[in-house]
Amino acid sequence: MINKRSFLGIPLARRRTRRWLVVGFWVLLIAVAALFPLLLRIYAKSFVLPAELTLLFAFFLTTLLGGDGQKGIVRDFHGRTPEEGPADYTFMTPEDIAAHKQADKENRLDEREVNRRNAVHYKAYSALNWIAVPLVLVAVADRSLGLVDLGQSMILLFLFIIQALPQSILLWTEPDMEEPQ
Amino acid sequence: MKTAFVFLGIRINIASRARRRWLVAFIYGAFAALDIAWFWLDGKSSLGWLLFAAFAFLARFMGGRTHDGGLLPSYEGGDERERTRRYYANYLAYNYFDLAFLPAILAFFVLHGPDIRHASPAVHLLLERLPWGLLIGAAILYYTLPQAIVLWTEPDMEPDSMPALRPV
Repeated sequence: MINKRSFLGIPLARRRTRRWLVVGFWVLLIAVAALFPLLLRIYAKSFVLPAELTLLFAFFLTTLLGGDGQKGIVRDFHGRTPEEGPADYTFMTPEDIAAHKQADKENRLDEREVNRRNAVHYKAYSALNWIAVPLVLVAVADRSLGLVDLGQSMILLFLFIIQALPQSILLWTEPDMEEPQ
Repeated sequence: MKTAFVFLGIRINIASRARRRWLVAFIYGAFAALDIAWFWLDGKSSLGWLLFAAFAFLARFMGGRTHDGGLLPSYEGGDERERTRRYYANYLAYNYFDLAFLPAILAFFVLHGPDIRHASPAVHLLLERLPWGLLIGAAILYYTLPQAIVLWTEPDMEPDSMPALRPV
């Protein structure tokens, strides 16, 4: 399921290296989520607020992991298999249909990859239960407790988790890759 | 996958996919009504807890996860085919849930953003309640969507020979 053998010069063949990368990635995202309420209070006169720039940076980080495109570390999750049936090409021109079919062919996941993808999403979905409970507790807490900033940070972190948890689990659990012959 | 379900002594046949889809549509209609009620009434009041109990009851009614008494059997059981279907339903649900959560987050940041100070009292009140309504909607989708996808997509089944149960 891993698309690349290296990322920014970091070799991804070994699981241990990949785990360090995942840890670094989450440290960055947690830092962004923690700082975001403070950044939101900076009313810059420039074109974009610092908070918006930081948010864009965080979403850019989540796209680097892949899963939603062909250029990330993890393969595109949405590649179809023959078992899943044909894609929906309604309202497309013949040229678009041909281009989509070609892309689907190049991006097709095999049966093992589909099983891994689905199992990882199931795990991520189950893990969200545990994260959602403190989030709801903070969200419903009275404003007088002064947890508004914490609530904002947690909501943002929850969104990052939704975006990047399946990819992180994959990078964390995939075994060491074989060296190319 | 169950072919029949007993609710308050009434046996509901869910072998046919069309019936299951009607049932899912009805349950989501009820969820939507409860969410709108939560939005208009103050969700944090005692009435809000009653609404929460109604959400929990409907979610349990759908079954799946750790609940064995609902429309779907518990996630702990099932053969390999059922597990594969469940995993695929979770994959699909994960993608949709992502989209459902986004409006709630945007509403939260609008509520706590600098522009809210210039809003009229009516808009302010609306914006105060909107994130909760959306968040509750997203939470319902998160909790029930995989089960709904399984119920919606499983093909017609052969009804079993279970005799009709009488009300106790």
